[in-house]
Amino acid sequence: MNKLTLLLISFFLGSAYAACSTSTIDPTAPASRFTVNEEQGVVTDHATGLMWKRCVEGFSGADCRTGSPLQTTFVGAVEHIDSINESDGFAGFDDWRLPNVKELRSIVEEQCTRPSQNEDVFPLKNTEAADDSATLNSMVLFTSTPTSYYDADDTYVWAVSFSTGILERTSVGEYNYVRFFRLVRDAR
Amino acid sequence: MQRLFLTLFCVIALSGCGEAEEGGDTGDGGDVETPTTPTTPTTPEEPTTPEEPTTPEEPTTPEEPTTPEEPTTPEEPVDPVDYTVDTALQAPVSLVAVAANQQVVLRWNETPNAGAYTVYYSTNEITADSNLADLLIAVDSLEATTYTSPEAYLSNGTPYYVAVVAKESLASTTVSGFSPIKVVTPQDNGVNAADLAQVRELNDTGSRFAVSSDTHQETCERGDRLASGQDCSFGRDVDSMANGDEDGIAGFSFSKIGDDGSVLTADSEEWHCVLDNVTGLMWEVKEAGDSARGGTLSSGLHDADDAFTWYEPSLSGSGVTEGTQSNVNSPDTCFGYNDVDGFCNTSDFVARVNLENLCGFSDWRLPTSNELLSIVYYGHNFARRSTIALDTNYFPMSDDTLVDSFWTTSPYYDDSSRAWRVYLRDFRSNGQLLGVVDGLSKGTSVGVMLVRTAHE
Repeated sequence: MNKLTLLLISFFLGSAYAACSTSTIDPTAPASRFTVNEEQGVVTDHATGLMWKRCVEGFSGADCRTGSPLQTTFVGAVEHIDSINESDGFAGFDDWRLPNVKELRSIVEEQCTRPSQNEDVFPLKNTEAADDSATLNSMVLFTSTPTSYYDADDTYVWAVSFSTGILERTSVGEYNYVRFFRLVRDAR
Repeated sequence: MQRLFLTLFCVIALSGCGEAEEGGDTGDGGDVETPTTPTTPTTPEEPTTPEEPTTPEEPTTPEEPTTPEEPTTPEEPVDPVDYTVDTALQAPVSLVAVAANQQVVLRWNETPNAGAYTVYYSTNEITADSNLADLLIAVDSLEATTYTSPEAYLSNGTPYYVAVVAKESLASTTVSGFSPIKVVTPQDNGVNAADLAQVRELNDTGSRFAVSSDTHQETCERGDRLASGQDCSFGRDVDSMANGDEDGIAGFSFSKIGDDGSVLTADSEEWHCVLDNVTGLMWEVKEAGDSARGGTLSSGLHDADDAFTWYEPSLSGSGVTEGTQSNVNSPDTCFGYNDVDGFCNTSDFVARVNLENLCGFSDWRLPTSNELLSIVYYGHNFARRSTIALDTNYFPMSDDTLVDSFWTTSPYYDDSSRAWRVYLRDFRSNGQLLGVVDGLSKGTSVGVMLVRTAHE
């Protein structure tokens, strides 16, 4: 392969939208289900009554292309959210939290892959850097739900992989994985 | 706007507006003793008008009603009806309240044995012990299970406490206890209230314990992993109005359903379906497995051991593969199999259950992935001793069951060979797979648990 081919490949990998089977699979997170408030950076889900922060934590702006994503440990994520709620809040609210596993799974767009997410509602910063893009498009996000376990010192929480929408066990103990995360609150 | 609201209230509630709270003493109310129907706004015996002023005897409390002609603030009370609470009546178990601009939208579950609902609100905190007479009525005797406050009526930034009670019929004077109590603050968030008419609370996970870096707590106590930010601190599982175990563990609320579709009591020993009161979905109940399955070994149509390939012939030509009609290597995996190819697959099974008219219904179908996830119980804190991710008081399942995962109707992203499946059991991986959802080849034989939409 020559350099040009590599460049082209990385261009397509980097900038292409998710692969979506729009003609064969019914959408599970259609834009019509959400009210996007670009100015405030929040999204309200008409089906569940949840309000989501539009950008994965770390990104900002109307298209979520400003900044860089915050990857941290589970404790880091919880502490980060605490500090938001205890200072100025976000979009005027101070009751942000991590979503539980059912909540986070409810915004997976099953007709799409890498990411399995409706990017009109929840934009991702698809940069042209292939390595960056690959990470983002298969982004694994923390949930607040611990997993069942075999030994008491097996300490994991569930995460949702937005590569396809599958669940992953994510260590908060021995391996203490770093993950991305997205904020949610009840839209009350 | 206040006039609009009061007019709406009068039309909807039809209990007369501006009448005094203590109608029984003064004779100017009448709607307590002789509750009216939507066609008889006032009682003939008590020819007072809705414009009737307040009684002089009861002049002072902030909740005092006023005449519709002189509404003053949005908080102005509107004729609280003096209902008697009967805690034996089933209350709504799910209430979701969503904020819009100067508006709120409420939705609650269709409650077994209820014919109408009354929505209470207050700018003061409502608790389980709050007296109905101290609260305001947003709408009385509503047959629907959703309520949108009148446009531009509420104050943005003001928290409103809301709760719903159920009653058996429009004319009932006794009402249930409160639904879960919610607080909602109207705000200019760009949300169009009309879009929220179908909002429905998600089921919670059942998770009631916290995890720390080195151990699973046995409660939601604060470990070094900040329990206050974990699942066990939020949702139905920690709402004292919703988290009783009798109607389903933690925040789950199920009703047992009999053969004929009737709602049974929680202690019934024979039931065939389960209604999830939160999601409005009704589920097929499997007969606990005994490690035996096949045409001659399965104990009935709903044997939990039975396994099926994923097959939907109507998809032929659609671009999504219709799946596998028969498991070539092992076709004899379900009740009734008689050497006929294409018997133990999902679509044939759905047809058999609909023909059977399970629980009186013939609209059974495969669940979507998120529907099947909705009943998953993620709360086991000792998976070593529990291999089942369901509330087994409502969904009996034994350790001897041959099936671990269950089909959904949802195509996996590759829209070809796989569909989503959910692990409701995990006997082999020490519980690590409990509640996992992933893609599986349609030619594999796994379990099926059918669902139908009981309440939209």
